[in-house]
Amino acid sequence: MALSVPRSTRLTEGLLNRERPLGYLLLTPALVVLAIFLAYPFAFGIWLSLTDASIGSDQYNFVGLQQYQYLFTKDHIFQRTLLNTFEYTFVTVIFKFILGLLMAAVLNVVYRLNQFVRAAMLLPYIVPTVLSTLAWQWMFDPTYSVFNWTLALVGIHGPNWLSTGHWPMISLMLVNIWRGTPFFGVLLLAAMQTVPQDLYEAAAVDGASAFQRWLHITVPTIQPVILITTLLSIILTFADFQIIWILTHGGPVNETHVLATYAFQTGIQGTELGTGAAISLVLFPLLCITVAAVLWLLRKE
Amino acid sequence: MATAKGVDTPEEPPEGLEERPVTVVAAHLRPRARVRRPGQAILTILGTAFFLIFMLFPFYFMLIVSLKPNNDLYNLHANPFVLTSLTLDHFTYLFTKTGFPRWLFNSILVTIVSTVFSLAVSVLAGYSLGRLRYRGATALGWGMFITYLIPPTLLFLPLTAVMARFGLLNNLWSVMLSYPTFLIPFSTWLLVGYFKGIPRELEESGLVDGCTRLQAMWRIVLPLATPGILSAAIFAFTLSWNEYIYALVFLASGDLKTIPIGVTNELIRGDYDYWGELMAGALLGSVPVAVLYSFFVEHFVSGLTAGAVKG
Amino acid sequence: MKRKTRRRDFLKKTVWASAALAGGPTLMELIEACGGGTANNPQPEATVNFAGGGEIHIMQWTHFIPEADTKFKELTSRWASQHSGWKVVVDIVASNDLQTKTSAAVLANAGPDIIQMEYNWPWLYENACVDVTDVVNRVEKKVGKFYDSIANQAIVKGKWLAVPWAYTPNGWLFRKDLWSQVGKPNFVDNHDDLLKYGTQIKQATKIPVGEALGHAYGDATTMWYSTMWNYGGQEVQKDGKTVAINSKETQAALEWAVQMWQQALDQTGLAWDDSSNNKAYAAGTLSATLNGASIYINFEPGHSLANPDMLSKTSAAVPIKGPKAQSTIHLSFAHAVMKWAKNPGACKDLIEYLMQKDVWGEWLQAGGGYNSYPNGAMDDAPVWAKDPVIKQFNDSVKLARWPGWPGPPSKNSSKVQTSYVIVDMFAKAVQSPNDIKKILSDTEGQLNGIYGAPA
Repeated sequence: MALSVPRSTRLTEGLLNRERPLGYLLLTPALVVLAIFLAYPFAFGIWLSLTDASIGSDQYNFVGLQQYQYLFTKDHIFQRTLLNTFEYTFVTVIFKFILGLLMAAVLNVVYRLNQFVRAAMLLPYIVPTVLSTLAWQWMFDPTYSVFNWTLALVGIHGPNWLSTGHWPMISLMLVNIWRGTPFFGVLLLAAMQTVPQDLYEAAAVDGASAFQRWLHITVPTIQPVILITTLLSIILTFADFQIIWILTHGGPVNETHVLATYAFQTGIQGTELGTGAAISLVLFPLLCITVAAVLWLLRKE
Repeated sequence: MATAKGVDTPEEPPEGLEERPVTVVAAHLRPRARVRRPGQAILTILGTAFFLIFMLFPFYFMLIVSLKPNNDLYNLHANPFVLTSLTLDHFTYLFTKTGFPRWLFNSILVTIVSTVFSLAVSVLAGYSLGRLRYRGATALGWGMFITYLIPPTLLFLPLTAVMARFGLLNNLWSVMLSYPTFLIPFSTWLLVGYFKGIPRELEESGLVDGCTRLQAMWRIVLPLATPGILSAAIFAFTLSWNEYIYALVFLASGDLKTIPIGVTNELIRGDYDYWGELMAGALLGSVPVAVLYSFFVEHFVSGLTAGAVKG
Repeated sequence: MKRKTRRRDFLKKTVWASAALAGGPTLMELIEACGGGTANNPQPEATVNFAGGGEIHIMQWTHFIPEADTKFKELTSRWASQHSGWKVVVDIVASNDLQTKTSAAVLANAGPDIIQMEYNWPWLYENACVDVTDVVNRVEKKVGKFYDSIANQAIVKGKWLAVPWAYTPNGWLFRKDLWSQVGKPNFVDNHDDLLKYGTQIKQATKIPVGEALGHAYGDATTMWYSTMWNYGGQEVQKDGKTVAINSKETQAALEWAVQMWQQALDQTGLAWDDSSNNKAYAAGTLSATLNGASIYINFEPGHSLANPDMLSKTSAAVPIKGPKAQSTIHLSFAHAVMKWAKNPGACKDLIEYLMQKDVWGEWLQAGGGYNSYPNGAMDDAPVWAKDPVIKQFNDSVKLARWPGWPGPPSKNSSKVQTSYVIVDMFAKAVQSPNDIKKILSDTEGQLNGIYGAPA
């Protein structure tokens, strides 16, 4: 039998049957795509951030870390932006987590129309963010705000959602929470349903209250999912662009920028490519630190 | 034959990314807790109502605005919650006076190509990282995960220059090739978890029977991983369908725009927005993913959780 | 040619994996089919060569009045029909996104052959624009010199880098019924009166004056730059280097703004974009606003907000004056031929064709008088004779200045504009009226940073 198989075929088969060559081979397409369209531009971005390149002029100089130095020491808008990014991420992730947990608890009980309810609640997360944010923009409209129309019915003069005081930031966070809650809700629900039912029954027999059962059985079991969901949410929220860009463009007075929108305004609209690249790259170490912290928590488990 | 669903992950030693013994989620989610007391029932109803209203109100509002005649829409005294008269003008305008049909086609094309491409690549990579043991697998797995930390908002500036160098700007290939940069890391990561959950013995018995490894992968492992692949596909489809910043920067021509770009580019007219048409476009742009999810929500959830809990 | 080879090589390598999915042999066709046909091989030519045909892509903003877009496309195809084998494609982009696309194209060194640039973009994208002095010379010979306010934005270092195309002038739109109540049926002509009578109307009817004070690139810039100038303030000296913002004059402008804000303006203005005052005015919640004519034109029969009642109540007036000046900014457009254009000669010919008075006049008519020619050559157009309200907008063209005035409209002045330094100065002042001195010195610091003077 073996003799009838050409040598080359045997060699190929041999290679393909060994885990190591096959492993590298199967990984190659992914690595090629990521190398060309991700690693290379990423490295190029780092290089740009070390120069004073600007769009529309051919010459540029290597300036070392001057862009970063300028941002951190002189650019007040950047400093505000950095704080905003943290505030935006921190506040919304907490709310998304709490609301998501409640949503999961509710969905875990509802059983009629279950599939409909679950699909409906997932909508904010799955439809194009730009499009749903446009609906919010109309609801926040200074003239036609449906919220203010409703408040006016009971004699309250509604806030200027996207203009004064803390309202712009609150409005942006509200939309982000609206979009992100279902992500938590549905993932936590799925995790909750993996908790073996007999654990609850045993605990109930032992006289544990619903809250005790939740705290001592549900939470420990779903903890890995909680951490991973939070991690993904942090990454996505840190890098958010669409909601802010559509609703405020970073205004009023550059008060609601996050790193992504400020990088866009500086790099593309302001044509300061080098500065823009530096602003967006600040995201990266921040994300790495956050992710390392969450993974450390996971491992400690 | 046992499927991946509902089977405990085998007690393999941690290899590559952190592995933890958890139950892979059942594909058909069932409500587990029963309503026992009236108080709980009321709380549940109130909770459901709260979330349904909070989550769906913007869509209700989109629908109302898209059907409202302009003189009601811009009338401050008209009740914004209800329709007193109804018009299809905004939809007609969308289909006859804008490139909406073309944007729809582009969105579908771009989404399908980038999803299929990313998935094919990710299945191979996921299999490699999840089931094969070789030196460097751990590092490569980590590297793959770290790429997920480079979001589009960080990449679009240099990527524009790269696309330009390849002569791909204002060409649908620019987005079809750049979407995989965020689809592949995520899908691979998700699939690694799924592949790891499939017992090794199944595949090994196939190898003993004379299959090559690729045959074993194709005939034994992939069918078992179908739910995972499906949920990765749904996820990839959604991310491509919703993508904004790359398409915004890379595509300029009217006949190349995707829905989010077309709608925001051509219906926001300087100092005058076409709200009825904007909302009609937003609604129609949301329908395909909404339909997809109403059919596959269970798969999406179970696959995502299975991938996620793997760590 | 080299470029092309490289591109093919690259595609072979990277797209190889997707070839099977996309249908292997037809891959190159697919790539072509997915493209917008952008040009990569510039062949600068002295004389126009129409032989062999070709395609010209023009990128421009979404016009306020959709009919103007349709007409523009019609006019360009008419040019194409006169040259066999030629085709013109008009790519339309939201005004907010136009600069994004322009930057991407310049970065890419590929994209539309002609970009309809706004304000002083020729200064920003200096190295990407072809010298079009020859076209301007020919056009000016026929129609006379272009106004300084548009010429200065297109002439960079002695060369025309874009051919002025149009102004979109601003003026005050006001409610005759409300302003008659305070004895000003023809509106007011200066800042003090705007404050005084605007306040009276607000007290009597609760209806404020409205203007954007957010990051609205058209309205906010127009209103607050002109306020600064009208009181004698300026961001920089004529040399375009010495920052001059911290002055008694600017302070006076800020103080007026604070009073205006507290007494007469709609306080939601901080979040307004360019569409907000249109919506508010249409809803009847503003007594007056500084804007283009779009609000008025959209009330006319046949337009989307047709409203005979509001149309009859609305009139227009030219921008108001302050103690030192009567000034304004208008959105202005100029056609730049990009250096990657395949056939710059044909592009120039197309632009020259569009500048002819009768051709341009058709476009003006389609837009309902929303635009003005870059000089007085079209002042006798029938649209304006027909409607004295619309004519006010054309009359205000002469009052125009440019961001960075009296310095040249440089890259720096543009950065000041796009980072909203002046607008934000006003926004901060109305939010903390007690800190005006500090706001002035902060703004001075920001401007010094931009204009490069020692901090």
